[in-house]
Amino acid sequence: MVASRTERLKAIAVVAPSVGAILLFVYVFIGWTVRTSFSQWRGILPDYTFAGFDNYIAVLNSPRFMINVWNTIFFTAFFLLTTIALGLLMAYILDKGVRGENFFRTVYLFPMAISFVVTGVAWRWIFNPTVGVNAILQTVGLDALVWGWHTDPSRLGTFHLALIPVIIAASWQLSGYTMAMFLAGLRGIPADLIEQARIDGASEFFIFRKILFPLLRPIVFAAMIVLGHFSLKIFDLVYTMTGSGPAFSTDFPAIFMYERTFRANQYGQGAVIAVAMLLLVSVVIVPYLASTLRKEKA
Amino acid sequence: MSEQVRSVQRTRFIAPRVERSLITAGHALLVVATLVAALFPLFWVFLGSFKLPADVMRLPPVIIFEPTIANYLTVIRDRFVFFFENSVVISGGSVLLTIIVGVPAAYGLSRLRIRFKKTLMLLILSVRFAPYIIFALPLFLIMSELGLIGHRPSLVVVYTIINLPVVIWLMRAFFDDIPTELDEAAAIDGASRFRTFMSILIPCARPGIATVTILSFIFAWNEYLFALILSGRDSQTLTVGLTRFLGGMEDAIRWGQLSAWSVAIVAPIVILALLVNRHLRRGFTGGLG
Repeated sequence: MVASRTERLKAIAVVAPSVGAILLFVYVFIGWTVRTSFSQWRGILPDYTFAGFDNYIAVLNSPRFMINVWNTIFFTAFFLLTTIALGLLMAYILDKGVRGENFFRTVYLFPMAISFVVTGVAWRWIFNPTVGVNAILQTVGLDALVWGWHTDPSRLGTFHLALIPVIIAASWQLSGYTMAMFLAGLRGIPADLIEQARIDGASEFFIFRKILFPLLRPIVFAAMIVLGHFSLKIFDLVYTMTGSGPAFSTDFPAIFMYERTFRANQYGQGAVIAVAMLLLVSVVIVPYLASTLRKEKA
Repeated sequence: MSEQVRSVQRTRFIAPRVERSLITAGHALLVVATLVAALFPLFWVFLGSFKLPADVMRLPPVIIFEPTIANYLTVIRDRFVFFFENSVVISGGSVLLTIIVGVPAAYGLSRLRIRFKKTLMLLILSVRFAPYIIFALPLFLIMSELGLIGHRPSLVVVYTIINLPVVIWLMRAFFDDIPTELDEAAAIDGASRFRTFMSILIPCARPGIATVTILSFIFAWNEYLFALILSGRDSQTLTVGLTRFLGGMEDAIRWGQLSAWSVAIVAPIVILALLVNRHLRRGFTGGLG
């Protein structure tokens, strides 16, 4: 079948608006931000005079940016760990067969449909040092577990303890996502494989470690990529839950960027932070998309 | 000897049973624990929305208290209707635009001969994976230039572009599932491509269109970053409305009112979320995975 001229025009006509809008949005805007990052622009009026790496040096030298980097590293590590573990646990529960499976699946997934802003507010109240869980803990005599949560500025090395409540909130919202990924994976494993192992006397733990886990590894990898890129660009949840936290203890690059640009009018430096985030996210996401491109059939 | 054999047999018979019932008990415990963990924050906020400040502050915290709708009345006085209307119009408008632009594109990528399809699909997805904040600065500048800060169209356009990948990826999969024999039969009967698309493929893909409509709506409804930057004073959405009350001292925050706001934001999407539950995962990644 040879595509006629009109056929080709039709194809272009239906696809071009979407692709054009997206390409403009993504690539022109990235270019624009990069250009701003090399400009002298500080203040309300635009100033695109070339300033070399001045803004980059300023941002890299600011203590707040270093805190951002450490917070992102710790947050990403622990958030991935808890979210994947919880997701795996929930998927395992569902896969083993539970009465009312649809109900459970719905409940586990529901947090994903809620605005991060609402999640932030809810957990901010829950971890409020006076009227939140602390009050419950005191009532039941678990005073040892009472502390300042997200209002506590203390840290272990470069790890700010105030990140813990934020990690809990983020994991709460997104473990349903990993659950759904794992569940799809578990359902893809032939049942007789596991049945055979059981007949041969394998323990549940053995089955999990030797059969399920290797089969689930690619899913763990995919979940790490998607959740990892999410944690690198996190904004709404943290911004409403803790803002930057005491002494920037829960500060993240997106919040830093927002405040530098739209509150302090340091457009050049704000753009630098955005570019840094883009580079970080690209390191995670580009190889993944490229491998998807290779696998996906045309 | 025979005694011994019997006892061995008995243990072999009983042991797995005990083990199994222990596993079942542990399993049930896990099920309950995860359920409580998943519902606890929602329950807390829902309950809190009916509490007066005095009940919020009461130590130890109470589960039984005299419920009040005072918080909801305050929410209405806080111009809830204004924010609600903005959210409905902006979300609805962007969804409509996304469907009008995205569904034909998905059809094209499913049925028509287009070069570099795979690359195009990934380019479309790239908007979803980029850190949104990198668009913030140019968007703010353009919208200021156009005088659209504080006007609904700015957010409608942004949400449309960010939702396009979801619509195109999911709808393309839906179209792929419709057998091409249908198209061919229509062609033999003399129907044009456009006619086939409108009167055969669209009706077949209706469940898919419903799904992507809801997913896009939920995204727009929940969005915060662009709403914060572009909405000025006059087109603020519900999420921005909620966060007006977060400034200031931690202990001065009126949790009851915030909870009522939160419930009012979540309530309209509960049913929508239940309808597309299975697809929420793809909604999150923009269709991938």
